[in-house]
Order: sequence, then structure tokens, then C-alpha cells
Amino acid sequence: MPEDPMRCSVPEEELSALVDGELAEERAHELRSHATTCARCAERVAAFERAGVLLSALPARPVPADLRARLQARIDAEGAEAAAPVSRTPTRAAPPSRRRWLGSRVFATAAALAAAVALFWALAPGQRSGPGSEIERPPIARQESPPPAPAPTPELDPAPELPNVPEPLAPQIAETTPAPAAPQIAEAKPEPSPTAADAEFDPVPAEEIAVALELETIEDLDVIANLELLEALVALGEGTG
Amino acid sequence: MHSLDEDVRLMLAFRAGDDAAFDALFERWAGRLLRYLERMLREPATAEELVQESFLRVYRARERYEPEARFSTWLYRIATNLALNELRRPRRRDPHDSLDAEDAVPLAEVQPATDDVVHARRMGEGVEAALGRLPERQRLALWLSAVEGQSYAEVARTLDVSEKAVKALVHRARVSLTARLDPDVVLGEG
Repeated sequence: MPEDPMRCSVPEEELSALVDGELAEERAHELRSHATTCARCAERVAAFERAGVLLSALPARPVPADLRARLQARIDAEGAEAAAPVSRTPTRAAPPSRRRWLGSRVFATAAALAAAVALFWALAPGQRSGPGSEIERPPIARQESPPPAPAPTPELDPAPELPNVPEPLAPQIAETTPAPAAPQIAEAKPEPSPTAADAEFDPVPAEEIAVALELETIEDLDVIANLELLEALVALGEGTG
Repeated sequence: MHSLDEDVRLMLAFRAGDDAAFDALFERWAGRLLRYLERMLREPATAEELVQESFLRVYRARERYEPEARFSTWLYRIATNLALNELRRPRRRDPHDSLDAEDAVPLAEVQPATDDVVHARRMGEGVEAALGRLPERQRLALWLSAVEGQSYAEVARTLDVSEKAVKALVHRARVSLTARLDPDVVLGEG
């Protein structure tokens, strides 16, 4: 006797699993028997099976004749790449994280130095002149030690930036720069200790400067090239402050 | 160990250095894999690329291969992951946009145009369109189960979901597919 479809409680998901062969043999047999008397389940099972048949009947395009050859070309290329000697270009550049950190540090130092330079130039000319012993400290154009790598560049010459300096600085500085002399400043202010200056400006260690010299932008190079000059000017500005 | 699985035997031979076994595996599976990927991606050129990529990964992994499952399950898992990555690429077209007739894989290229073939072509286009409108996981699960004959356990491994989830995915896909097809087609009266 046909079953009333309205009263059928077989979940559709179970009918789908039946079509997929995922039910235990006993349960599958029960449902197959049930479907012979239940129009709803019979129709769903037929539709589900038909869907699978239709999908399987979709045409298959022949594999392109050159697909295997293209695959082989990729395999061969990988093999050649793996067999090739590893060429490592030696690089002195710091890793990105270190470069970023160092870059920020260099620019922070540069910013502090720039502020100090501004302070220096804000002072009156008379205040800028001090004792020779004070002004001789900046390592500008020191003859006894070689300049840092990018040092012998025109940027190092502060002459264009000091057009109104009335008197030459110390003799050894005057050879290359007409920097101002300020003998009286040393008398008014004690010479800052190198230790204090180091702590204040946190000078970049030589190793980091070496890495920083590899920074890629012109601006970076300018900062490094003028580092010593800027430090000297800051020290001078401090002495007058 | 699937001792009777010819593919496993070939893969083990390939692992041992028999390159001809790799050729045999390609011959056995490239066509089915291409059809699967074409139906999932609806871009023949991309499907070909992913067939290559799938076999390239098999090639690379040959020394680590262990016959813990059917070779086809492993191969389809590789291909499915590649397909899912491809389907999620931002610049990829909306799958619904790719269902136009001109985007469908042309049957005319492989079959002559008799009345029966024209009818079959229209039916096939309808099935393709209905398949293409399924959510990607339903589409994958239904194809792997109904066409590739994978068990729910194998599909679950391929899609990295539970068997229960596969059962639900396959069922929902079937219901959606049959609802979108002409009833005559579904009931075999067309």
C-alpha cells in the first residue's frame, strides 16, 4: 500500500547519503524498500541520482597535447635552478629591520643637530665668538685624522653657510673654513665634558655609521657627511647657551 | 596501505626513481583533473595551469610520499587547494558573471551538431550553469562525491572539513542543483 508522502519522515539528507552509498547496508536496504511505496522518497532519490548522471555526462575536453611537455619544461627549469650554484652577492647592508631602526636613529640625531645649528645661528655674532681653545675642539678639517668616507665632499665645506663670519676660527680651521672664533665664550661657560656631550647626543657607534653609510638616499648621505660638522656646531652652541 | 591501488604502485615506483611511472600517472589522471578544475574554475587556461601545478607538486613531493590514502585523494586535495586559492583571488570575476554561454566550455568543439547533440548541449549548458551557481564548497563536494566517486571521508579530507559537514554540503548542493534544472531534465523525461 502506497505511503502518504505527507507523513513520510525520512530526512532528505539521508536520501542523498543513500544515493552516495554512504549508508550502512541495512539502512540502505530499508530505504530502498521504503521508496517503493513512498512517492516522495522515490522521486527525490530519482532526482538525486539523475543529477549525478547529468554531472558525470558533462563533456570532457581532451587534454591539450602539449600539456605534459609544458609540465616537463617547468620540472626541467626547477631542476636547472636547483643544480645551479647559489650565487650570493655579498652585501654590507643591514637587514631591513635594522636599517629601519638605524635610519630612524640617524634622522633623530640629524634632527637634534639641526635644531642645535639653528640655535647656534640664532645667537648674536659676539656671542658666537669664543676662546680658541673651545673652538678648536670641533673636528672640522682635522688634518691628523682621515675624514670619514663621504667627508671630502663639497658639503663638508661650511664656507657658503657662514658668509658673515668676521674672523677666521683657529688657524687649523681657517685653512679650510672661515668659521668664527669666539674666545670669550670659553671664559663664560665651562667646557662641556665629552662624556656629557656623548650622553646628550648619543653618538652613533662607528659600526652603525658604517651601516648608515650604505643608506641609499642622498639625504641620508648628507646627514652622515655633515655629522661631525653638526656635532661641532652643536657643541659650540651649547657652549654659548 | 592500498596494495591494490595501481596509482599507489605507480607513485611508489616513481618515488624509487622510475620516471615512466610519473608519465603513467599523468596519463591516468590529467584528463579527469582537467575536467574537474574546468568545472570548478570555468576558465580553461587557468585549469590547465593548475593541472600542471598539481602534478608539479606531486613531482616535488615524490620523496616524501607515503601511501596513506588513495593517490587520487591526495592529487585532488592538492588540486582543490589550488582551485580554492584561485577562486579567492581578488581580481577573479564573480562566478555568476562567468555563466554566460560564451564562457561555457564549448561542446561544439568536440561533438558534431545533430539534433540529439543540440539537445544534449542545451541540457549540458543548463547543468553547467546550475553547477556554476552553487557555492564553491558545495560545488566541490558534490563533484568529488557524485562524479569522482570519493567517499564522504575522502571529500572531508580533501576539503579539510568533517564528514558531517560533507554530508550536508553534498545534500544542499544536490537540492539546489535539482531545483535549478528543468524538472523534465531532472526526471529524465527531456
